Amino acid sequence: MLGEVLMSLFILVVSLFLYYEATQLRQLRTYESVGPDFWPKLILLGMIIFSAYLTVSNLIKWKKSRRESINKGEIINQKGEGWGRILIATFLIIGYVYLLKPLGFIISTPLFIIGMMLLIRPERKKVIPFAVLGIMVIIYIIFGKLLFVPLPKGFGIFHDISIILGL
Amino acid sequence: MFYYWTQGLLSVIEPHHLLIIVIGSSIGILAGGIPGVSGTMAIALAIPMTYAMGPTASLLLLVSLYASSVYAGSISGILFRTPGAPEGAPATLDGYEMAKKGLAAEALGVDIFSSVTGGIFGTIILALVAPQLAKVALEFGPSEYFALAVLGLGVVSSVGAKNESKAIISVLMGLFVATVGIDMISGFNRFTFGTTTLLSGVSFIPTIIGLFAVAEVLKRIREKRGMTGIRSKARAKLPSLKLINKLKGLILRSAAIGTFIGILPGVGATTGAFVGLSEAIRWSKHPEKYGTGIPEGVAAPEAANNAACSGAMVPLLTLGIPGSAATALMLGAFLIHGLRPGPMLFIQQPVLVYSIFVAMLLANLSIIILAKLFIRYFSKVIELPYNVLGPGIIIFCVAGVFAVRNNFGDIWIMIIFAILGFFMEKYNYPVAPLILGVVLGPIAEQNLRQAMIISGNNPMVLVSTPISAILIGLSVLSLFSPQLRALWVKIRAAKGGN
Repeated sequence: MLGEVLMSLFILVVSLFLYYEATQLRQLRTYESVGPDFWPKLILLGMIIFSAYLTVSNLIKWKKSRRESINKGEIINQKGEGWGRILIATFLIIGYVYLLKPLGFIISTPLFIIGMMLLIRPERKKVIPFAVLGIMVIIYIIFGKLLFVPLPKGFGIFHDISIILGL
Repeated sequence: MFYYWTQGLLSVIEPHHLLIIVIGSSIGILAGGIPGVSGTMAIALAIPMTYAMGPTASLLLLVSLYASSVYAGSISGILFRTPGAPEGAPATLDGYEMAKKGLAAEALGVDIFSSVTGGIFGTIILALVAPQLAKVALEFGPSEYFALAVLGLGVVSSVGAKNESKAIISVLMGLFVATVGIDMISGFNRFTFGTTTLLSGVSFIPTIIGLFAVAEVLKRIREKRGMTGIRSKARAKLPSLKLINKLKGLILRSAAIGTFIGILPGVGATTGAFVGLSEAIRWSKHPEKYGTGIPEGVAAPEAANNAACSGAMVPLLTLGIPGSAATALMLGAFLIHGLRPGPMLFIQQPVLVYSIFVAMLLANLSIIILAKLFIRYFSKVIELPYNVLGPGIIIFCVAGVFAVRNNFGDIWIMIIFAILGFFMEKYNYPVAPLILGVVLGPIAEQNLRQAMIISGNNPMVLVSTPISAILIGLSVLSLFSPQLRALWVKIRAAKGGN
């Protein structure tokens, strides 16, 4: 329930910030009465109203359920299941995309696959080399050979490695 | 019309187009059948693969993938009680019970037959209705198009019936995302924050791939669900003539219901399947038998969901208004290939339109052969563990998004939407309205502003013609449909009590 409150609060804060940004568009208003700021402001106003409503109603529900739990003597367990895994997965994806430019597709992708496979099922290490090879070959055939997509080659020595490996 | 049918047929029977239909149907069956890889996700992933193809080939691939994925959602539902897609859930109830009785092959056979019949029925209705509707739509001006877009947006209440406020926030998010970039009327930059990546707006492909594919992988990683393989041997046995004779009325009625539901914007194959099943139960002389493992319980929802899939193409092709996430993705595919669905498509690209009709017929027919083949090897495919499938999907997404414009900014957009999609799913904000907002936002805004400029800033122009007034009225009704439905139930209950 706290997550619900935080989610709607986040939407509210972002909407307020964007509404402020939209008001800056007013200076650019042209001859039209319905200028470039009208539609975004209308949308953001809706988002502010609905997210504020959800924040308040969720907050009331959360406080009520918390009070009931305390009255019943229940232990409130705030520890979320699987959040650590999701955080690591997100960082792995961000890291992969960040390294994609300097290291190139052919170097960074196996590193990412290994990281993700160890994260999802660390006990199944034996399949990792086959999975890396399989995924790389499929992607290379589809994007490199069939669709002629120039996948990132990386900089310096990594660029040379990508060229040697035929990317 | 006959001329275009012939041209469409000639275009589709070209060997490479036939091959594309077979590939599309095969991918669709695989994607629909594997839990966690929905047909919508498969369409999102297939769009980057269409860049190197021509518009006809691309759309044939996507429509055949779409049609077959709707069918395949029930395979794993019947075999393992794990529907591959939401639209396969209703058939699971009786299908799995049949499988438990040792009638899995019969259940899968009824599933194939009713899906194919439903799909063909829906496509025939699509081919008959769409050109007529397109003729009417030719009369539309900015105010009618604005009203149409509002009608499309009004369906959020049906899409997110569980929590209307969250569905509205979701659609508003989509509408906002569509405003980012250079304003098409004034030419001013909006919400670009000094980045060049956002000047042309938030790209559609990274948005949908992030929201549907990557977010789903993140969700599964968190839940650790579906990460172990399921082992089973399976085959399908098509129903006998006696059984077909027994089921024909039920299948045709469900197909008609499904087609009608599919045409309604925002109410897709899943609703079609559930309504198909509930109507079958209502009409049955033995409603108590449903859920115990009878072929009728498989035939009704499966005929309805495939018919709904064809029906959903009606508003997309004739009005350019997608009614579901899958058709919104298809609209994106049209736009990528320089085509604008709507009445003009029937005038400018009639052969393409009729090729789509023929392809949908063939894709549905191909299910008979491909499904039998795939079901045999299906157990092998779904044994693929998620620690291989998950990273594979993400890499496919990254490569696919990068392929759009060779722009790393697009990959970051995909990641942002993946994180947003993950949290939206986690806290029950429906994602489909966001996609509807992204697609319909520019149509609504541009036509609203054009209508206002033409009328000299008179807001009454928006309801000045009967069509626009009716459409706006329908939008309001659609938006408040859950409340109206609840009120209706209350009134009926009160009358019943008296």
